[in-house]
Amino acid sequence: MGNDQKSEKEIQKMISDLPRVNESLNKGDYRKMINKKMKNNKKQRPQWLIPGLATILAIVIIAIVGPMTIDTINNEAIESNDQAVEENNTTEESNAAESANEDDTNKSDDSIETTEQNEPVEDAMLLDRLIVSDLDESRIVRAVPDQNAQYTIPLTIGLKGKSKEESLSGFSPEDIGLSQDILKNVTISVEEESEVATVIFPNDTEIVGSAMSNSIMESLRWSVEPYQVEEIQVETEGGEPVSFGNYGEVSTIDPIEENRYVYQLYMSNDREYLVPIDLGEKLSFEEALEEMKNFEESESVQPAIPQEMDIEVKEIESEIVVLQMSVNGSIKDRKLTSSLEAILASAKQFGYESIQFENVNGLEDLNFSEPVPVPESVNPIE
Amino acid sequence: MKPFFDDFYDKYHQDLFQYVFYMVKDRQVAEDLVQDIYIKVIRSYESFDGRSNEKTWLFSIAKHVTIDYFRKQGRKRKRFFEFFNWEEKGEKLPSSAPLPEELVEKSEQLQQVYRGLDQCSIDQKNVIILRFMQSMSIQETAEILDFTESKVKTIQHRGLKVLKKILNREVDLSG
Repeated sequence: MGNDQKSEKEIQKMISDLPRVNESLNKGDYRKMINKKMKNNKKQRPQWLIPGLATILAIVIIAIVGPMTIDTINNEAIESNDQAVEENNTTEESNAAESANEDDTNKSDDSIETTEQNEPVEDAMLLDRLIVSDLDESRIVRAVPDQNAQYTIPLTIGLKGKSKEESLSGFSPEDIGLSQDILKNVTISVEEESEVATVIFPNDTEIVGSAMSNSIMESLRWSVEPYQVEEIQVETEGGEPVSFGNYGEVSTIDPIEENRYVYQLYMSNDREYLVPIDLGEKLSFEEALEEMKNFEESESVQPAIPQEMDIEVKEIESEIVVLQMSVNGSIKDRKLTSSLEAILASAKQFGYESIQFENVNGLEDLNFSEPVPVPESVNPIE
Repeated sequence: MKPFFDDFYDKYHQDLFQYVFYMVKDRQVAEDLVQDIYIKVIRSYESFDGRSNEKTWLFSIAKHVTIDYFRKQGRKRKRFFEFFNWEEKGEKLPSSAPLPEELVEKSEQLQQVYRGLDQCSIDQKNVIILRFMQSMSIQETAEILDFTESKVKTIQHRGLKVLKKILNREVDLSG
């Protein structure tokens, strides 16, 4: 047997000897097919062009003018269309406080009426603020701790044509109100076929303390969560296990468990993020929605579902949840969209593929007649 | 579009098609993906900054398109398994695609290599095809796949090990 064993060199040679395979199309066929596909794509453009342009416009405005100002602009626009709302709201916080007062002045209604109904284009773009519907190759997920290392915020970073490494090396979460990127020296790769994520640390890595160990583990878990891996393997460049403070030598980390997390709203530097919160045990989606509403507010994390909103789980099919929504009073568009986005993102944690929202009347230009697919990722950062 | 497309087609089409075909192992799918790759190239050529060479840039787009295809297939497969409540983990589906006619006449061992590629991960397959079928250097392969050079070497080693195991098992069995 020994002499017949193939060496790597021989195998390389055999691979290079694999024959060229013929195709059925020629250059002219390709040209025709490409033209046809490009035309079809152009025809489809109106479906996404307006929200797409609106989103780009919003990003440009946010980048140039800054979060405080955009809040002011939004609020002014909102107020001009709503006679019942007080005149001088300029910050998100004051809006939040005043929305409670509005409940007294606005009539109660069974359906969700929002306070700004005459801005269709702007409304339509809102649902993409905190969620990412398609996590394609132009984006990468990186989770980072908040400034107090209490929570872990998954971010979806747009590569904008740069390489993954280039984008991550220029990424400073401190600039957007979060902590530093504690995974900076770590290489993460995901093999989707085998559903395994491999994390490689530098050779001399020694993580000291349980707080740092927890933060790194959570950041790793949430960085690979959208890729639905079954296992996270951890090793040094030399293939050794990694020393994780009190955990000792670690070679695998459990991925995020289903039915155990919901998203709430994290606020920092006037920016809003979806933050995953551990429910402490596996719950039903109905129970999880209750938790999203009854979450005890902290300085930085607010419940994603406002007290004014009631949600009834009407029906659960294998992949679709039907939610009957109602509200006592009125909820601002911004708050409503944040809630819907948090609910959609949370539904993904429970294995659902889409949600049929019933009785959402305020956002007329968003198509709620069809089930809304759950997002693939959260917190887009362009 | 014509002169630009013609230029790319004449220079790279053969290599591009072979790369995509050996990744997905389905002629029709490969032809469809190659069209998508050209469309991406046409739409983004203006943003090509010349830092990598044209071929490397083209292949990095091709890699993105094929990986997106696998991802979509993976999702479909996952749903399929969930629907039937079968266990997906543990066993890979054997490739049911027939051998391309160009391979039928070739040696049994070459056919084993072809089939053995299915036992490699997507990353391993990418590295092996780029390195040994497309004769790309480690550096070019790293650039296309957005890996470090040492990662390419590691994956190459692991991929060859998978094929070696398959081939040597066959040798053992045949005596």
